[in-house]
Amino acid sequence: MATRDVGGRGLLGRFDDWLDEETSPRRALAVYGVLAVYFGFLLLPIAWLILSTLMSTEVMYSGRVVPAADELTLRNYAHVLARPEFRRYFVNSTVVATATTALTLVFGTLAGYALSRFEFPGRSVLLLGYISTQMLPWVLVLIPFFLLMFELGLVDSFTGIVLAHTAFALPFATWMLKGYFDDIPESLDDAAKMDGCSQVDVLWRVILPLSAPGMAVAGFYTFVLSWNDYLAVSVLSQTAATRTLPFGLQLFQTQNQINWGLVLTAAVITMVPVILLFAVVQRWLVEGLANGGMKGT
Amino acid sequence: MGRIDIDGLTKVFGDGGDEIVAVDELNCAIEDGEFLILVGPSGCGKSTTLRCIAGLERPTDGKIVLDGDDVTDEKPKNRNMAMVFQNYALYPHMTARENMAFGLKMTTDLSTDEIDRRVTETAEMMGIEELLDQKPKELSGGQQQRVALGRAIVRDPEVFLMDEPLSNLDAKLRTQMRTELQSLQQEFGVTTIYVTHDQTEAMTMGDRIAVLNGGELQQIGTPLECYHAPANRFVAGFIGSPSMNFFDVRLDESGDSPSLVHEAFAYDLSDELAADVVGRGTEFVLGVRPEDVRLAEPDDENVLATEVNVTEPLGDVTFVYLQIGGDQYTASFDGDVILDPGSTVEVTFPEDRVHLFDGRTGEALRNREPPSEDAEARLSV
Repeated sequence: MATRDVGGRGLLGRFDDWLDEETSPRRALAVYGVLAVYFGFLLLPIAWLILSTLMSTEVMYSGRVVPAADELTLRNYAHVLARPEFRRYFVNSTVVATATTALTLVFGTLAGYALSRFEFPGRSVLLLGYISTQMLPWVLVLIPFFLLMFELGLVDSFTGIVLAHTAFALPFATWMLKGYFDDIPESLDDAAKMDGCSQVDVLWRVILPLSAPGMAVAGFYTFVLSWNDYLAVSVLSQTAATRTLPFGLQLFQTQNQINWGLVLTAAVITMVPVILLFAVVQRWLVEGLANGGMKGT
Repeated sequence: MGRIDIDGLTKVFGDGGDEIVAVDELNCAIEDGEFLILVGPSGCGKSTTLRCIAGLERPTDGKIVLDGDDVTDEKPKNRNMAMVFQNYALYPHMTARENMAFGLKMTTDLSTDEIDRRVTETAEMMGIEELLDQKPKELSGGQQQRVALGRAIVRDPEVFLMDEPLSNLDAKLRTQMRTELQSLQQEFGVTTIYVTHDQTEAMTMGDRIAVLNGGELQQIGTPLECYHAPANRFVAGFIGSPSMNFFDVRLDESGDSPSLVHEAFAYDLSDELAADVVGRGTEFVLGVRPEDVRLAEPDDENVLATEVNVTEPLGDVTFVYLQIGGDQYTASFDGDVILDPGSTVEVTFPEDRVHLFDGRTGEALRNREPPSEDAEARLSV
């Protein structure tokens, strides 16, 4: 690649050198401008939300958009985290979302692999059945689901909530993983069998290590679905012992009053695990969403 | 030991009305240490046969016997066979070393040190010791191929199964790997079954070739047997490049001597040739290999005037495409032969070089005499 003399060319010249040869600075500035507006639109409410959690009620209602630095406080966080119910809901959410994710990944992987690799009677019907469940609104099956759980004695139990969340997440996760497995050449399965693997060994030692991005996408989707769910928990949970974080927001509002500082702080704390999880798996997540099984490996 | 007996092997895919017979009643015995090539056009059942032998497909019928033991229903891991795949099938998440060690880890109780020693030893032999810590995506096609071969060799199996292992390589590397594979097979003396649709690989690599078509075994024999004495029209057309010229002819016994009549010529039969066809119907196929088409000399019989369509000088030989009747046929002449397109040349098919096939069944009725010293007498231009 030819080197260019950047001496004395000013900021625009340096910017031009930084860009690839096909992109002009004017075009790049326009693109960056549009992106800035887009991300501003997206991120500004979240930034404001976080900023608001650091304000006292008086400052929040003072009319000033940006408070002075000495007006920022962590009192809202201390207050929210001091509530034992909130801490309990946090633990409940963690238990339910983790169990749902684990259960969905185990069954989604087995089902996805079977649907990807084996021919068996009813396979097409099963695939259609899986996808047809996604056509029904969640709220439509909620009451029958409640009755079923009631019959099974699983109302107001973690098991019931985890089963409900798994039932909703599993079809999508299975389809996603099946698509991912489809992209892994079957000759790898054959090679592993020739190398002495049983069918389970093939899945465990060859397919799963290659499916990390797909598993990350399916797992992240399931975790977020379970973590954010309000509807199923509102029907299946009867006591504080099984409530999850979305209910935590209710703790800071009464019939006549809403403490916005505390509600927003609870919302931020609710978001944190999902953001952290995203940070951990984002490398695989981007790869999994963008590529199939063997691309980029 | 690695003797394989295939007895009535049949594999049918699909159920109900859409059944596809991939392999039909295949019988074949492969001796210990033999290099057998399974060859045939796409969809002829050669890969399915190999996969049945490997245990990756369950035969619909028939038996596969390895050293006297029926292994038809055994899982691949119980057959002590190693396979090299067309796309190499290296595990992308493992290094070359891990790829090669994987089979030993799964099938033996060897210590990690012993496995590592064997892998290193094999890698040195294959000239890939510097690649051992690289992942497949960091390797070129040829290097991946060597790792895949090393993965098979390190297992020290009784049988090597190879499914078109060279077809993804470029022409130069393919030629190089072809000879390397032959040397390796000769060095280890391991029974090898090699699937290919490549003529050159079929002719040059194996002790014997088995020609398949439509799931049925057409002929099994040494490459030269299949070339010089094909069992039927299919084998005659499939083995050899450029392939044999075929002329649909009819036996005419109305004249003084019987002749084979084609739309563009009549080929008078000698008594010897007539004995092979008279009384066996009237429809036949006359077959002539391109190298057996000769430019006619003044005294020649059965001379045929043809029009030159195209010439392809390759240096050592020249392929000349001739218009005979409504079809184009190929002649191969030694050295450089300059013939203008559109010009007329007289050619002849020497009687001792022609093949005759039954017009209905395609079965060979007469094959050309094996090559002899008089082959030198071919007209050189």
